[in-house]
Amino acid sequence: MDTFVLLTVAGLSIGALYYLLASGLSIIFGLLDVLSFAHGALVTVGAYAAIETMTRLGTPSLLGFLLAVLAATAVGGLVAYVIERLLVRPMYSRGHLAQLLVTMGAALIMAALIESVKGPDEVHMPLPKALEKSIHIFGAVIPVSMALTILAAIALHGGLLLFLARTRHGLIVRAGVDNADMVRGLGIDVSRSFSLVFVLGGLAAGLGGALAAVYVRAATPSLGDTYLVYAFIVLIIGGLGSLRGAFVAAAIAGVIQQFANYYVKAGAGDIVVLALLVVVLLLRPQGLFGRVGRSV
Amino acid sequence: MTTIGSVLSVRHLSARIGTSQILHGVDLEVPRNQTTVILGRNGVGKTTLLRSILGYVEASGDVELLGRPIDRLPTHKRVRAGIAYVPEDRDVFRSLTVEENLRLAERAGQVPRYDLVFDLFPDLADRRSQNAGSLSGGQQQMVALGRGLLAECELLIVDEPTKGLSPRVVQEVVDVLARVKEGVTILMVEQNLSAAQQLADDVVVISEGTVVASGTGEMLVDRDKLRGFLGVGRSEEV
Ligand SMILES: Nc1ncnc2c1ncn2[C@@H]1O[C@H](COP(=O)(O)OP(=O)(O)OP(=O)(O)O)[C@@H](O)[C@H]1O
Ligand SMILES: [Mg+2]
Repeated sequence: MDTFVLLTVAGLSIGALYYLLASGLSIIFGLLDVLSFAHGALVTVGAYAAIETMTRLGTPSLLGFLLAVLAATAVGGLVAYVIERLLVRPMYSRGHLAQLLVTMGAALIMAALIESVKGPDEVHMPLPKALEKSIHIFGAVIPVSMALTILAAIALHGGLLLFLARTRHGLIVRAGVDNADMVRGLGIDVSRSFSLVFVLGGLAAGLGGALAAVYVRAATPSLGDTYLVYAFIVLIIGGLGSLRGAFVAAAIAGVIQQFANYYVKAGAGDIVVLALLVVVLLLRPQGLFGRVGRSV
Repeated sequence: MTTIGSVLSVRHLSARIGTSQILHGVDLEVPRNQTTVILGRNGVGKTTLLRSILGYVEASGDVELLGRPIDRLPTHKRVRAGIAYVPEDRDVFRSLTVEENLRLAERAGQVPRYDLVFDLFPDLADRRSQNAGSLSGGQQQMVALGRGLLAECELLIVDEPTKGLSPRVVQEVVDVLARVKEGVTILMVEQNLSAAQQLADDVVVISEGTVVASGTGEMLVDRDKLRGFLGVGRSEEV
């Protein structure tokens, strides 16, 4: 029983990390019709920002950790803003291949920059005592860091849904997903929403970076790559452009991955998730929550 | 130089889509408080002309709104300068409710004219929370027109508002536009000759991407002559 609970929670916390990346990619794709390959690198950047902050602050404390998370989130958003303005914006009318190349290029450049400054080796993430602890749920011992990651993803999901449903910017984003040209025709500067959505995705990825650094207790210049691959898998399983789909698919992917790794053998999880992707693509090509048209 | 009383002046407007030249030097004046109707066979570039005025299509030439050049501005700024746009095929936001469609047209610093819109389209008030995609074509046209009229504008641009509607609904749309035209300058494309006749103060005929005839609404009376301008045979329907 306790193994079952622990595996579930561990799976959900991995899924939460996938969602922190997938949510941004989902909204960006929905509105901008761009698949951003740069967002994995934002996870890496966030992780390094968190580690740098923790290291500079000296003895790890909870307050220091909070600052590290804030720094990672902010850096993710800032870098995303720069990428959108300088690289992605000129590519909106150029089609998917150009966007793919430009965002991949941005990712490679960021990884190379990090490596040239921080070196290719693992950098350790100092953690405050409070995060090393565990709590007891249903007889299972659950690390606080896992619970925190899951809570972060739930809060982000709720926040994004509220943003889309209740704010004017959210309304513009939903309308823009439907028909961006017509939004312009009402006198609205859609390109501002494009930036906003890119930055939101960057903030979430940066936050994901901090939490990924907690999860693996370290960062490498390629940290974000794995997460990016899984985030895309989750997007497709959930249905491209569907935020709810990404949320559910991330949880499913994380959990079955953990179970397969534990009960079958280490590494089997990756294969099982890929198998799930194939099954979904065969039986329901639009994804679990995808519609034939586009929507958020 | 703007002709006195023109809300919109278009000069030497040329536009291409991809490699094909669609408009060849269009000149057009839209007089204040008048309704100008653009006619022309299918595919001659009427929609392209409207979309060039709005900045959706890359074009060369001058476009002035109230004497102010707008041809360098992006679409949303042209609209904010005082244009309301009701596109061909309505383009309502299908996944949004009627209310959300209208709310998007609200502008900062302006009181939205919900009274006017719900007075013109009482039906919309009852369907506020319905998804616009689930409405009939006529109702979607009401949403599109209401969305255009919600903010104040100097010029209302409407592209084939009666397209694809049943005769009864066509007349409803025409009746509404007849009320609307009392308060605003209109530039519209209308292929339904009876509808055009009821609304037009001025008529502009486009053929092969250029203006081939223009005059007052009287032009619509002599159908044979009109067919000549449109470049269609006597027996053909216009
Ligand atoms: N996106 C596009 N790509 C290529 N060609 C286009 C595009 N849009 C329009 N055209 C071409 O430009 C020409 C003019 O089209 P436009 O839609 O302006 O005509 P129209 O007079 O509005 O026709 P209709 O009466 O059918 O609405 C047509 O020959 C059309 O095929
Ligand atoms: Mg047309």
